[in-house]
Amino acid sequence: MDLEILENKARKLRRDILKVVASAKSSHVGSMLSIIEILTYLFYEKMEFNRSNYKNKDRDKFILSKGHASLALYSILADKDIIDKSQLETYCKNGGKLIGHLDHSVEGVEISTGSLGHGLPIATGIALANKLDKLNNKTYCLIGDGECNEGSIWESFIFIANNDLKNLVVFIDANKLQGYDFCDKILPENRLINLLKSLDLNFYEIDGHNFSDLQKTFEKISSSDNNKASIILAHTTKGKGVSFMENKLEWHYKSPNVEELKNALEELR
Amino acid sequence: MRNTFIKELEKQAETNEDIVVLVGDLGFSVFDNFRKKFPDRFFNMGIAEQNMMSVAAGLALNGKKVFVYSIIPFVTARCIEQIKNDICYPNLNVVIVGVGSGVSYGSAGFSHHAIEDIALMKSLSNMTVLTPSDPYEVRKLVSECCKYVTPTYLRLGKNNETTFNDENQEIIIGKSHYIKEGKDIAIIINGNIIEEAMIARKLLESEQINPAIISVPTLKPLDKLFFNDIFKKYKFIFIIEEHNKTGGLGDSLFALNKENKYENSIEHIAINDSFIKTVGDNKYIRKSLGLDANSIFNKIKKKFEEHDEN
Repeated sequence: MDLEILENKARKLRRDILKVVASAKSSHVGSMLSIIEILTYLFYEKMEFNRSNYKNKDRDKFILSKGHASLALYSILADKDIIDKSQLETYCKNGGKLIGHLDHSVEGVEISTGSLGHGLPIATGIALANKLDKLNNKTYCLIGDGECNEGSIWESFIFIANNDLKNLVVFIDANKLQGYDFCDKILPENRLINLLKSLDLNFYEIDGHNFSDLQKTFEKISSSDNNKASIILAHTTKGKGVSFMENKLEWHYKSPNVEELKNALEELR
Repeated sequence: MRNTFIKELEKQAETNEDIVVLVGDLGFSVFDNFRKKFPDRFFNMGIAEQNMMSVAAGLALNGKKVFVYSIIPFVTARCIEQIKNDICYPNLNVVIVGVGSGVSYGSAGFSHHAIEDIALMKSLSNMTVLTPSDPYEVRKLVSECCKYVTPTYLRLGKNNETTFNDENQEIIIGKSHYIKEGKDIAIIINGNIIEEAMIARKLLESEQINPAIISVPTLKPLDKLFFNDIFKKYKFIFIIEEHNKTGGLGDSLFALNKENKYENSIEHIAINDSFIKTVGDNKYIRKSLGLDANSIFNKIKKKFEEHDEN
């Protein structure tokens, strides 16, 4: 793992996202910025995912359950030339190619999401199919901490906990903020962690912006000798990388104006 | 219908290794054999229908042919967003099988009645809606389902229904057909309410009235060609369904009739937009709703006599 390459990539993706969000005047930039290291690690280090193999039957699959962070994934697909770079500019615009919430009409996207609590059970089904077919492919799923309010997430975890899905890794992007409150006011994080631990799966708590942490966790996962799925609760910062966006509820909705964009890009040089 | 469905599914699963069955914590005694025979392809997903539907989507994404089975309200209304977003939008290979059409679960009460399900499923783009009227149609449709890769809703009644189709009747998804030919009047039914319509027909025969009986195993897409013919051939149309008037077979046929400016006299015998609070079995509730053979007979006879007087 080359730390510098990954860190540069993360900065580049953040810049790409900010420019598009500013141009589209669209929402959810904070939710995109909190998952950049996780996605960068998966797509540039962990999964073999490129233009030549992204449709292969034996590929590892990534399901972004928090579909409002779609642009984070679209930016990676553009960076890898799986979609045309010019498509990014059409995000959320009239007649554009990229729909606001993650859509499988976009090359390289496995399944559409947007309503929360859907991606995890879908990823579970994919992992189950791989297990039935005795394939070694991995399935990665990323859900939000706010998303853990959804009942379907817990229906899924009940199933996952009982079905030896070693091939499934679930990230929880714990960025501490949801639509109209801090997550702690709805489902306090310590309670969430206790609930997750009670599932008796492989459970890890990491700094979700630290590539070394991510790598070490995957080393632990691959050396674990049980057949359980893994949950990685990644502590992250909503709006990470742009000081005035960090930990601010408003950046779930706002898009940067010209001045703000300039300042943000300056911070990410 | 239920046992016929499971028996045919078992047969298909023998040759089609992609078939995976998910059930929502039911199947006691009826799925035992299937479960024993295909332990790796049968999952009791528990009382968690949202998860069950999205897991089905995930399995289908990886090439499985998934049958999801439970009582109708729990595989339709309970998880409709999962069906819409995860199965219909990506157009996945999942067959949703609901048991207990209409008031099949009579005394169980309104939570178990299925009188809005067709409206819900019909409104979803990419969804095929199958409403077989007897075990024969069920058997044929299960094997038909296995030929297609598309979201499908299969609406079953209960068990031990009589078969009215001829043993050589062709059943193809997208087609409707005659159960009985007739004169002047066509009775169009979906589902196991056919048993009431057939008794009504017997009663009408003794009055020298001979209505045709038409079954609609595929409600969506509607067999427009066939029904255009029916509208031309029969002046009086009676649509009978064990479902709310809104959103069922009636709406589909009214729309087609209007679209082509036919001038049939059409009567829709269905449930009049109300929850059912009557306590009783299937037959008893049908009677309270005017969906039993005698009520159907009386309505048709009255209509025919009015016409004769003019």
